[in-house]
Amino acid sequence: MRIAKETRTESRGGRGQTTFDFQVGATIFLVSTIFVLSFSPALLEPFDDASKGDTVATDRIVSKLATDEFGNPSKPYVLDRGTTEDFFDGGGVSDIEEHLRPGQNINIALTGFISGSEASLCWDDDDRQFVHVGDAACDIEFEVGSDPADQNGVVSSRRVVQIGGQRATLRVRMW
Amino acid sequence: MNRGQAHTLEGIVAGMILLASILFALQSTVITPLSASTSNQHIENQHEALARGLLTVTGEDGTMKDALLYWGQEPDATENRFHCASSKTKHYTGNPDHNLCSLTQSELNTRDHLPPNAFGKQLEETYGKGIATNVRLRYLDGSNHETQFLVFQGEPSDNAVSETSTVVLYDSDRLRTSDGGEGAKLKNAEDVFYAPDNWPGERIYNVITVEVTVWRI
Repeated sequence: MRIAKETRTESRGGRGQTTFDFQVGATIFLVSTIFVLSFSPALLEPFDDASKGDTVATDRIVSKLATDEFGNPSKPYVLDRGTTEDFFDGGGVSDIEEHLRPGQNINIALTGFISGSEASLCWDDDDRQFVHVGDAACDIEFEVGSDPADQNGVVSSRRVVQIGGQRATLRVRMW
Repeated sequence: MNRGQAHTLEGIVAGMILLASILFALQSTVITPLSASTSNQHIENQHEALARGLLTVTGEDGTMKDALLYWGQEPDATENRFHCASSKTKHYTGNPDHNLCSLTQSELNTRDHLPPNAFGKQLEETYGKGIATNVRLRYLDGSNHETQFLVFQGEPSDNAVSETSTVVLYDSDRLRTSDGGEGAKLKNAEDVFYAPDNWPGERIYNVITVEVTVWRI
């Protein structure tokens, strides 16, 4: 007598494919597809930064200013106040700006800590001391260039310097 | 027949092809030293140049020498350390705190701080948060080089940079007290100071090499 009940180990109309097999295959495929699709944008990330060249330029500019132009190559990082004033007051930055690409901007500032807060320095001729830019007694500002406040991709380089007995930081930013 | 297993097999093979193509794409991209990451070459160059400037400037105006001489003068030699440093380590271990010397010794032993003098202030202003510094002093003892740390914040990472500078101490230089005043002359303070008088008959007391190591954390 024939056993009427067939043990059904197969589903889907006897096509020889169990549900479980199908699930495993489809899951593996879907997981790997989703992984590839979500990972691909990250592949291009190292090549996204368009301002790479500026890092070298800011480094070279601040290095030359701090060790050569503002002082003496034999005494690097010790700046001469007169030469520095001539640069900031007399438009010395235009020599640098004529070498920039169109659309590139530069900001050069000498910042220091006075009374606990840090901001760009300014020379007060009357009292013969350093104050912050924005102070009423400010005579010669040690900052040139526009403010990159809202820009992305600003590259900066800094050097610790000493000017007229005051410790300061010379900072060059390009964007 | 057994077409169902073929579907499953197709699924697996298709997944493997996708993964293989990702692998191929990965091999062809290049991560350069200037890519945005924690070990960016430009940042390391800046740290090195800042350390160079820091050592030059503090050497010029004497704040580095003051920091080297900012050592205790207790008669009991084991009690001596940099002023207001932890008594276990004798050197400073981290964050700046300008009210340091008003704390009790047990509080000092549990806190991390930088030297409470102009040198420590300059370190804080130059580097700020997220950057660890070690300042190591090497002096001569006979013909051996010995080490005394001024600031120790852990072992440097693989991407650390360092700069060195040399300071000469004379017999006539004076130790500094904890409020910055002048203390005993070095030639009279040999048993309390960390470095010995390496040239007893000469005016030179010792030659100290200051090494600043900087890295990102």
